[in-house]
Amino acid sequence: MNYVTIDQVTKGYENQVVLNDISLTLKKGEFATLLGQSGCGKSTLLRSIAGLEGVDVGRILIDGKDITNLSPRQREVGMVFQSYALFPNMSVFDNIAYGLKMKKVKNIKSKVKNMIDMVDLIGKEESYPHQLSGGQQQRVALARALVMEPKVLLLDEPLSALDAKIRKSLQKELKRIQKELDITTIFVTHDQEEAMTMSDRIFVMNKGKVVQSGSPSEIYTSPVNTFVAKFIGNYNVCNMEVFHKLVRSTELKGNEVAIRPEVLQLVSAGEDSLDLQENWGIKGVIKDVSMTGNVLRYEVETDESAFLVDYLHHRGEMFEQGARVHILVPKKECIIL
Amino acid sequence: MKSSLTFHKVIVGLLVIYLLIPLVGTFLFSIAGKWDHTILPESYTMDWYIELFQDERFYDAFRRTLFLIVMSVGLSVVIMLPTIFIITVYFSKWEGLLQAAAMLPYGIPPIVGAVGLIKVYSDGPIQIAGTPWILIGAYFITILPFMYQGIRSSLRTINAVQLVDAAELLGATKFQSFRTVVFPNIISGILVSTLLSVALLFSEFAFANLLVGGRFETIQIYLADKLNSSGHLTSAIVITYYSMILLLTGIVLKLTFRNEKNPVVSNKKRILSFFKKQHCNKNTAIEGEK
Amino acid sequence: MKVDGNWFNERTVKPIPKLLENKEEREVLRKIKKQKIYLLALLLPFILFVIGFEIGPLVAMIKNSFYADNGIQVTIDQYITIFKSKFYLQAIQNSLVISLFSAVTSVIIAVIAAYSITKFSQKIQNRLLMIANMTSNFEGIPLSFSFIILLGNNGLFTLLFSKIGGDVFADFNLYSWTGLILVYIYFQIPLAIMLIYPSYQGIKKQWKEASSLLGGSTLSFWLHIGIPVLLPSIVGTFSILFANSMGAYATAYALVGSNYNLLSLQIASLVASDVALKPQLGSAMGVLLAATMIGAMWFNERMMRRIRRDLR
Repeated sequence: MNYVTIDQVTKGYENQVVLNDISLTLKKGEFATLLGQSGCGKSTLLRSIAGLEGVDVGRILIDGKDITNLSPRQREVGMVFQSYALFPNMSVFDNIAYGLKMKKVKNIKSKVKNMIDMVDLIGKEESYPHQLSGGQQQRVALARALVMEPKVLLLDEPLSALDAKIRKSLQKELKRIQKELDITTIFVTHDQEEAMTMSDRIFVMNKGKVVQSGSPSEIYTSPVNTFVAKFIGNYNVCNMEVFHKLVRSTELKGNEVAIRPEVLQLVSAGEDSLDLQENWGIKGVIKDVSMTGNVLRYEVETDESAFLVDYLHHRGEMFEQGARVHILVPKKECIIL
Repeated sequence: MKSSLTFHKVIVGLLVIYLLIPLVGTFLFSIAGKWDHTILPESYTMDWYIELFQDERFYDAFRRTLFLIVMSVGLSVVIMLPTIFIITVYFSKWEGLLQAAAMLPYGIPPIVGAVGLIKVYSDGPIQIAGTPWILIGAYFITILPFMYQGIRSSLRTINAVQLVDAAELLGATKFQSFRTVVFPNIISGILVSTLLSVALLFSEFAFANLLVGGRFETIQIYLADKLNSSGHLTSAIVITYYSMILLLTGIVLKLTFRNEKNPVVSNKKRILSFFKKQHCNKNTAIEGEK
Repeated sequence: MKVDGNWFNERTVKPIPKLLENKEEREVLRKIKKQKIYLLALLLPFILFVIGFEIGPLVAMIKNSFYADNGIQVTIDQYITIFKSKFYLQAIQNSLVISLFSAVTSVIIAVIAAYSITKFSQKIQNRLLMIANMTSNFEGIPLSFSFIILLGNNGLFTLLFSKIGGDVFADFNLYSWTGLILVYIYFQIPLAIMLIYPSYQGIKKQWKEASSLLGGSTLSFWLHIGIPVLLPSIVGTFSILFANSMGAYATAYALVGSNYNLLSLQIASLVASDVALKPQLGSAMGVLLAATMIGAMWFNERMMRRIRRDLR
């Protein structure tokens, strides 16, 4: 049973198409992510679902109800903005209670209290937004949206303004709260790592279209085109003709071949025990070595193009810059695009 | 949304008309020949301007005003620049005091300031009441808030403290580092507050009238004296005077346009933000999280 | 030795002498001290000007207000005189009423007008602000003159209206309370617009969006968020305008001369006219005028605390 349905939604400004015939569905309780670079239309889609922007063509349904032409306040969706959009003149309590007051709900106090408890802000009820840290402000924004018990929670790059550490912990917390409330969530981000860790399903968007959708591991292991391959996992994408030259074989067909950096192996040029049954070998020179925490990244220059090779950083050996190597390319890891 | 735009158009339209009518009226009056019972003048003439520009008194008044402005603004630049620089860079603990002293005149209307100035300088060791010298002193204080804010914010924009540190580490003396590094970078910022001050002093009447009056006739005093003579001629003076002010503020706007988002309001806004200093700081704290 | 912007401050310099053993370093220290005196000397002109033309006169005024007319006896008679005199109380009241009325009116107009301005494209907004800036420089004597030729006894509009419509302007007298108010409002509006306009930019579109997603109507947005956020700037602007018109002298002088009893005009004639100089009384009135300015700022501060608890 689909809980959220976006049906052939199209939207344009003047002479530019922002959303191009987008259709997607979500199940109840699903955590879905719209992933793409800035300007790909992901935020516009989110704002269209919220009713902050209209669509030209298409329908949006939530829980079987067509909300395409409803005003934001009738849609029963909650939203957390990138800049939090907390009301500066109201305390934490009043910010969270605002929506309940508008709806003239009973038991405002206890509901707000519960929410403050849930987002771990006890003791901050009477603080004002400017007295809170970015992370705390974000929690208030989340609580303010959740207290309304929305059918769908929309998150517009809610963590992008925070520094890395707080971001990581908020990611976890957001996920916990989402699971606890079993609330259908649509999350917008340009950070593929964030999308991977948080989502049940990812919709990769480019130029107003959904180019690929699936679980994080589906998207990561089998990108459907160059864009996704490059955007998602730093894939080495190589033109097929070039690839043929490099491996001296025309076994693979297609336009381009994509290989994840972590499946490649490096072997010293001197060694001859290369397993050329399962792999192809490409001669190269280490041009650069960089380290990002536990991953060693080699940039290997070959005759035709450069390859990125990722290694887990073991204590043992490491190739020096300028070393001559063979890159072993496992045949079955080559993805043809 | 669309229908309410008409409402806003009407509001803004009425506002613009209200604001411009006195100006346009005065301008038309200054070039009108015969005009007493029609909406627009019946005939036009440049006679009033010709008459004005042949009036020696006008030139004299203009020269005196210019003298006062050059003296007080010049003094202000020469004194305030090193003062603010030295205090920000070397005696930062006194900054609060400097700011208080510099902003105080904004809260004191000239009419109040004049009372004390007359008292101090009409007897005692320095008797300069009634001379242009007292006006120069008064004007120095009048423009103090503007000069202070202009110079202070320029120094802050270029991060003067660090620049001086860098220059001194590279072997420059204090004076050299000021002359070669700081000064060239703040000229344009100073220019703006200087021009603003010039415009401000051009329209200064209260001090001029109370402290010196007819003994040293400035352009404003001259204007006030002409109020009761021919309306057309006075219109010509008003328009001439106002054109100069416009020219000055025009240059100021042009200059500020280069480095500020909203130059038209920024100068006035600075004053307000001083008025509610703490509150502003807190507001920016909210936005600072972005 | 730590070398930073303040390396020269007493704070950092003081503890060092104990550590200084060799001659060279002591030499450096002496040099620094010498430079410091040199720098302080550069501050002297500023200090002299501030004492001579700002603090000194203020103190002199306050002191003078506590002397009798002969300038010898110390007394509070001047203040008693003011508060017993119907005439001077009237001047204060007139000034207060005119300032309050013109400030309130201008702020209301500016709040509406500035909001309307924000509805236009950026280019037009800049133009409109330019006009506001332009006209805000049109004040004092020239402004009064403009109103005189338009609405004075023989003013263009006065004559025109008497010919066309007859009585519309028959009761209108520029050289009176209504006239003063009209001119005061004229020079206050552009200033008020320029002061209030920026705070509309401070109202983020996302607040409106968040409010509407939470079920708030446009009205409730303005009631609960918009106006409270604008309020500090409205109150601040009001205080500035109020102070501005309390102290206004040139406009009133040119328009009504001594025909109208205003605080600023009375002070002027007490300290700098050809007849009946009473500098001590003038000083006392000056002190009272300054007190209203401080009052306006105090009001600004108080209101802010009351309305916006978050700004505390």
